Amino acid sequence: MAELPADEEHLRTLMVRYQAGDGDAFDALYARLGPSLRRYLLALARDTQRADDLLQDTFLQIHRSRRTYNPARPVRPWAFAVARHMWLMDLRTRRRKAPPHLDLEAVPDLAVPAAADGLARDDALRRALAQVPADRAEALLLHHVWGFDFEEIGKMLGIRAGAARVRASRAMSALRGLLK
Amino acid sequence: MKTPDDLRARVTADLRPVRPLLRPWQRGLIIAPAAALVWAAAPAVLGVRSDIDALGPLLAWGGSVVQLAIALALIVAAFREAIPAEHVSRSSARLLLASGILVTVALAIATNAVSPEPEARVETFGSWLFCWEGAVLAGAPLVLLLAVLLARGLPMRPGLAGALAGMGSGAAVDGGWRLYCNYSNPTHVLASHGGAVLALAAVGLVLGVAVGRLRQSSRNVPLRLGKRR
Repeated sequence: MAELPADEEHLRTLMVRYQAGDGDAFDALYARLGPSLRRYLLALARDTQRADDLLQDTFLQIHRSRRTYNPARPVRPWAFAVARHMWLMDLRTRRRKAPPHLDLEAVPDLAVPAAADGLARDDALRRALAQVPADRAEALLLHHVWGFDFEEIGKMLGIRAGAARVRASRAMSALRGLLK
Repeated sequence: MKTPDDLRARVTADLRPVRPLLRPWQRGLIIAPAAALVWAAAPAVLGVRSDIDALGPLLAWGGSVVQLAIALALIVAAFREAIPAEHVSRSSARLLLASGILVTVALAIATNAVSPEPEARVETFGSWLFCWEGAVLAGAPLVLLLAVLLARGLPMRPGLAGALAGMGSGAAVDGGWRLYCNYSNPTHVLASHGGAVLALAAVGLVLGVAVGRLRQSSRNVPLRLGKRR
């Protein structure tokens, strides 16, 4: 089993306890994962109300699918993938015809990507990110904001790690162009 | 962040311990005997083709073993699709799906080149239907079994997961069927055997989509806890 970072190790321990039927572990997971999952869903759904609803649906799905978590793997990519799945299911249910779009104006507490720190102030960055194609912006956010490596992002999005890297890189290039 | 009461109540109502699913490759290993059974069914029950010696062990048995290996790779990929954050990349999925049918085509061409049919034999609808129907019926239980196993996970792209499982079943059954069927004519092999592989992939896709829809509709009464505007 690969060694996981301390925070991930704690999440893993909680998840194992939860799989064993410990309800308190679920509460602890909710407390630790909830804020970042909500921010991610907010970035995807661009609506506070929907993000809150999707967060509850995500945790309900996490509960139903808890057997699909493998204790040898980190928890966060798994939980984010479930959240993304719930968002996509919600999109299908709503039968939206327009492609998914990240409206980062709606994200109140989004951290600024470290790599873009020198480019501009937060507001300008958010406006610029909103103009970047959604799939590229998502890869950028998953890497720079939530700290996933490209291997994890690839498995979450169903693309190769290299493709995830290219998407994030192109998003960063686009950002630089927009912020010049 | 505190767990909302409604969510906590729903979780508490069903907090039985669960055993994590095995890794996709481990599930693939468990299903391997079933795939091998499907693979071996036609030659074991109906016998082997009359020109099997002319084909040689490499083309006859080796080719079929390659098909079985591809079938298992497809099945493992389908299991991966049923685990969040374990997605197969699109290019890998395309490659695997293509290999499921392309190996049938390649083996048909090679078989015909090594042991062509007597010119007198004429392809009929009956012979086409017999092989198509037989292969589909032989592969159907495996597709159904895989659909049930996929439903135990959380397929993120259920159609793709089902298609991979169906193509895997098709590759497994065709690997055995070509050892039984005496026809080398590519027209027969591609239309009948290849058609059966594609039909099983289509069945898998439909079952996968059905699993996804079922899951979507069984989201029960969604939790709606946020304040309405």
